[in-house]
Amino acid sequence: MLEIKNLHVAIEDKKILNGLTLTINPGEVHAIMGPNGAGKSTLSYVLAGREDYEVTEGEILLDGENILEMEPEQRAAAGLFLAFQYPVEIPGVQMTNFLKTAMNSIRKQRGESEIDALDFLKILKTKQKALGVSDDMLKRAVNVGFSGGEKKRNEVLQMAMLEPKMAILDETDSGLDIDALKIVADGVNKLRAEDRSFLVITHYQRLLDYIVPDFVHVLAKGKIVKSGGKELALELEASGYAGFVDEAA
Amino acid sequence: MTVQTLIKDLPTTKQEKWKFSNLPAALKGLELVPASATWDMTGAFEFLEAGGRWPATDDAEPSLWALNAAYPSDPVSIRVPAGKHVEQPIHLTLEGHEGQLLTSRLSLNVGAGADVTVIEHHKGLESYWKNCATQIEVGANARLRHYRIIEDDPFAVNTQATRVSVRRDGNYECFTLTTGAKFSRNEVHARLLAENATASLSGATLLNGRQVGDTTLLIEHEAPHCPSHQYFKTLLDGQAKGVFQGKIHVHQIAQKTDGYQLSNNLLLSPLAEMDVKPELEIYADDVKCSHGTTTGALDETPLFYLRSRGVTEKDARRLLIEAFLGEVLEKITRDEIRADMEGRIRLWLG
Repeated sequence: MLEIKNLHVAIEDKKILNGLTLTINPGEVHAIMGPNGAGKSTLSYVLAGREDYEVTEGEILLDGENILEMEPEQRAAAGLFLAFQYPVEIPGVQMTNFLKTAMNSIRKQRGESEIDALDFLKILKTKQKALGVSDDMLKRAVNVGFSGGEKKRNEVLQMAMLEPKMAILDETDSGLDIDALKIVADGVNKLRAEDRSFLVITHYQRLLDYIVPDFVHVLAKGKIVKSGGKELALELEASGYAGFVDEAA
Repeated sequence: MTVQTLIKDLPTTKQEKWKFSNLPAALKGLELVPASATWDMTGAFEFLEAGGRWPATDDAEPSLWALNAAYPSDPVSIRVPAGKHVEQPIHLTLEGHEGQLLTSRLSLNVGAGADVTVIEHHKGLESYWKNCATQIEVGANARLRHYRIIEDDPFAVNTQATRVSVRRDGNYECFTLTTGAKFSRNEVHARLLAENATASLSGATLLNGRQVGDTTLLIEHEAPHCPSHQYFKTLLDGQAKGVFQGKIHVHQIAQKTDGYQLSNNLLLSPLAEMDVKPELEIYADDVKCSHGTTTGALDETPLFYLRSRGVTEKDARRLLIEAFLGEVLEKITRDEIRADMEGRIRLWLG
């Protein structure tokens, strides 16, 4: 599904990622854990196609296609989705309109026809209910006046609507209380499927109690320094990142 | 004749009120002949009044109001009697033609308790100069909704001087959409004369090429307990230049004034220019006045957010621009007119 090969990334000459390699097969859930400044958010932004990051070496393949050549919207149409660590407020753009525009933009890029307005509302209704997204939230502008928990649920709602094949969750757990965390994790778990993969980026082990990964990787100083099964997360929780940071150095 | 031959005392950039907008430069090279301004009117007939009074100018330095006296035309006077609710908006259209100097004088008088909507539409062909003076009186507990659409030819000059007075509990709402004219200046001087008189001045200015659009506002609070709002958005592309000068003047008597002013400006091109001068002059001690202004390019973060959801860059920009302008359109309290303005904006955006 997703192959990251020897990825080197810099921002304004400062090296952030130094030869990151990672392969995610269809249906797998991978977790990347790491200390602050390890390059976690850089990885998610580079995957989604944000400018200001310079890829100096390496490639990223989605289903064998190099996505580094694609615009962010083309990556979305190819099935990539990033749940933002800090979802962006867009005053004046109403939620429902935003979701519909996003869905139709992707369909259009794929050469499909626009979704029927009633079908859209039906799908939205089902998914919003499961995530506890109120009608009131959908009437508001995108993320404007949303609480931290509402913003994260909104990210998962967008993911549920757009049905990506490769979803990246960037610290979706940060700032959530345990109830909100359960709702978000539950929403993600419902989307787990044989043909859909997840990359869960987190600072804390707690999230992985609810979204149980197949593989856990430790990111330190811009590359993966250790990989293992879900038990690695528990080990990290007990021992901290200190040992890995030294190893990378 | 050149404008300089026709008119001696043009306001110049040496004057504080004109430091950002160069009217003589905009008029340079125009060959104009004074012509009578004839408004095309719908819905106004029963309210037309003959021989309206026109006040002499008292401006100390060259002003649009004073210029209007150079080649005055007969005032068009519309008087809505007390208590009258006029459901259908009155439409006024002024068309300019090549080589004309049009000096319009328009008087709108809304009697106590009356309620009326006036839509002013400016258009024309090729180069001309419209200098319009408008005097407005909103009576006690009366309501005037005044919408102005400046869609003049890109070679034309449109200058507007509007003087408004609002009596007790009266409400003046004015929204101006400016997309036309190579040079436009929209001056509004509103006086709130008695308690709870309200003025809401808002507008959207959308310019490209080398257009200049100037909005210069003065609201005078001359009585206690009056709210006033100024909310303007400017969208500039190409080498266009926008000017916003907004002043709230609170007289000593005007306690409990609630004045609010906001100017948000979006630059779509690195060559566009916006000049903003907010001013508060307050002589009362128990008032609430705020002003704010922002000028900048489209924010990259929401743009990326939208694109990451599959929206193309072009559509994402468009969505964000419409959202930017949408906020100020909310100030228009008549739904069908807001929809009409939205349509004009969409057309402009292409």
